Amino acid sequence: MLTVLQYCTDAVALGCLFALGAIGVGIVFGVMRLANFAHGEFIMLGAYALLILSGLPWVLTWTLALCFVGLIALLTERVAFRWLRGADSSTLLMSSFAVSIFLQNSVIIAFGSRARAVKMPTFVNGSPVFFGLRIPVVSLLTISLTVISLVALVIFFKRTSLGLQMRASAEDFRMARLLGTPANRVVAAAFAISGGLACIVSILLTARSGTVVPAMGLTPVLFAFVAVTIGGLGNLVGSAVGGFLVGFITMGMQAVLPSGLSSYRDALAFLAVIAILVFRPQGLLPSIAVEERV
Amino acid sequence: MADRSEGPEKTSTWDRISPLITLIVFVCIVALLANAFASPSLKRVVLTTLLNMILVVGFYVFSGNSGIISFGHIGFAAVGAYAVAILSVPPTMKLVILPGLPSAISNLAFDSNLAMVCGAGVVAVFAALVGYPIVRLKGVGPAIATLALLQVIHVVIANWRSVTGGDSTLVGVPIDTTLWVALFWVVAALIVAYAYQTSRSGRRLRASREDADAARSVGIHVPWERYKALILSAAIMAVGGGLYGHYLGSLSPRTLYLTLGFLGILMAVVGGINSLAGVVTGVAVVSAIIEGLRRFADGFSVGSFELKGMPGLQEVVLAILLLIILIRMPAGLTGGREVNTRFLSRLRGRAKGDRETPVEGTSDV
Repeated sequence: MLTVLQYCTDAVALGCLFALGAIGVGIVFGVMRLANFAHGEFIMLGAYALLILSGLPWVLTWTLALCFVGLIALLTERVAFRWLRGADSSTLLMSSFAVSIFLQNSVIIAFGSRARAVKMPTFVNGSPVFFGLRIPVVSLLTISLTVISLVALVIFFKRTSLGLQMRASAEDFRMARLLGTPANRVVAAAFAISGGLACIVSILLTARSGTVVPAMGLTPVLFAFVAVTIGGLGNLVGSAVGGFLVGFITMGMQAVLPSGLSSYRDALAFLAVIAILVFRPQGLLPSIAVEERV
Repeated sequence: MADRSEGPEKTSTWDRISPLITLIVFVCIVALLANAFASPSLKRVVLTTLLNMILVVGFYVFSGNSGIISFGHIGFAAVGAYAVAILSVPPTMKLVILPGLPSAISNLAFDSNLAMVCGAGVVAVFAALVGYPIVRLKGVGPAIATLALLQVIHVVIANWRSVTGGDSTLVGVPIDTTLWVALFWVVAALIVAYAYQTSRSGRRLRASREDADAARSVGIHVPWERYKALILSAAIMAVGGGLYGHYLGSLSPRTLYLTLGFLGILMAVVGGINSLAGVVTGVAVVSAIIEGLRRFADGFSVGSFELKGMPGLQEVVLAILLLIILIRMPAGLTGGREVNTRFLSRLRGRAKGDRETPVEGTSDV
């Protein structure tokens, strides 16, 4: 029983991590139809921001890192993606690869390609025991930060006019523009939020591993793609659900699969993506009007 | 699609194949010059360029003709590289490095060229098995599906210890990819690619690239045409991958993975992904830039002043180049045109008046 609960808390924590990544990717996909591969690099840059700022009090470090990644995200939009608005999805994806390579190698030029240790506040290393259940502080932190971000996002989307405009743009960008939605502001907001979410992921990842490395963004962004596709492209609730689902399923496979097969876990996740795209291209929770009309 | 005999302009055989001949002559001249004058290190650069050209031409056969960018094509090259290596590593060696291999495969010892052909066959079958669902997808689907396929291939290669050696490097692959071997396969790939794009099926596919709905409305089965192109291009990728293995002498799961995959896409897009001349130009131009940057990034000394190397610089410059091309000239440096050989025709006294070349960026050879 305890083992099952243990797995459950781990699965929830992992699901939260994937959900944050997936929403970060999904929010930009929603307004721009851009599957932003550079999101992984946002995560990586957040971790390097933590490395640079690690001398400061942790609240300050985290806040500054959050702002930094948000700004970087805005900058990539302004410099690269703005010119490609409305381009087809392959072009957009290629441009995000270019941005990703650019950011990653800029970091390699500045810091080298070796892994570096980051000093995190000491409290994240603990793992208190509740009723015999060992819950690492990192997991608690993951869950609470995810809940806070999700609540903040829901309030933003439901209660602010910018949030409303973003939802409208995600549904039909052209129509929303015709009705007076400021396109630049909506897209910029999407990138800023996406960057902020990426930075939360970097805080959590760095708290888990204690190290940063220029290539660290690849796995998170690939899994975010998986989650976004499974949940339904262009649908934020779907992205979040997809993230949790991927977290649960990967943990489940970790627990159930025999050791010889568990190394193929990631392959199964990506096979699931292909299967979803083929059999249910609108995702598990379809958004409106994904089918292109002729 | 129009029946050629009814077309207003009858084209001679020369007009039809001259764009291909030009490319082959260009590649051969570069290889001959490299062989005659280049230093050993530069010769290796030319050889790598030729190998990349096979991969990019393979990528072009599918993505260039169909307009669907496959982000996972390098995965076919990886499968091909391992298949070719497993077929051509000497059996005594295989017993040591891959003890888990079934003896039926373990005893095979193919000549390298035969192994390439068999590897291409294996990958063609593989592509035929996995490809059809992918070519039916729309919108962002193919991009994500091909990326996912690459991940699946990568994970399987990295974990299937008994066949691929897993995460550790597979060593002992015979090193016999010379400049001439590479040149032979480049020319073969160019001929196959050109023959395909000027074939009935190739033209149907190119029509669907311009307007998939219009193509469908005149009776073109778009997924089927894409499927055929995918299998052909996967086979070419396999040869490219196999040659890479026989060039490096070793393979690891990361040899043919995202980095080289991005590079291939970048080369194709920079040159112009819609034409064979475009992708060949792209490979040549980007390779030249890389070589220039490598010399710079490796560091050099001017008198007593020594500049330290700067890893990462090359990628940064290439990324900026790709972005500029995507934003400023999405059709690439060549604008998606084939080599215009009309001036050559005129020299031969065969020009048919001064008809203008249609400039739609999508010239039909």
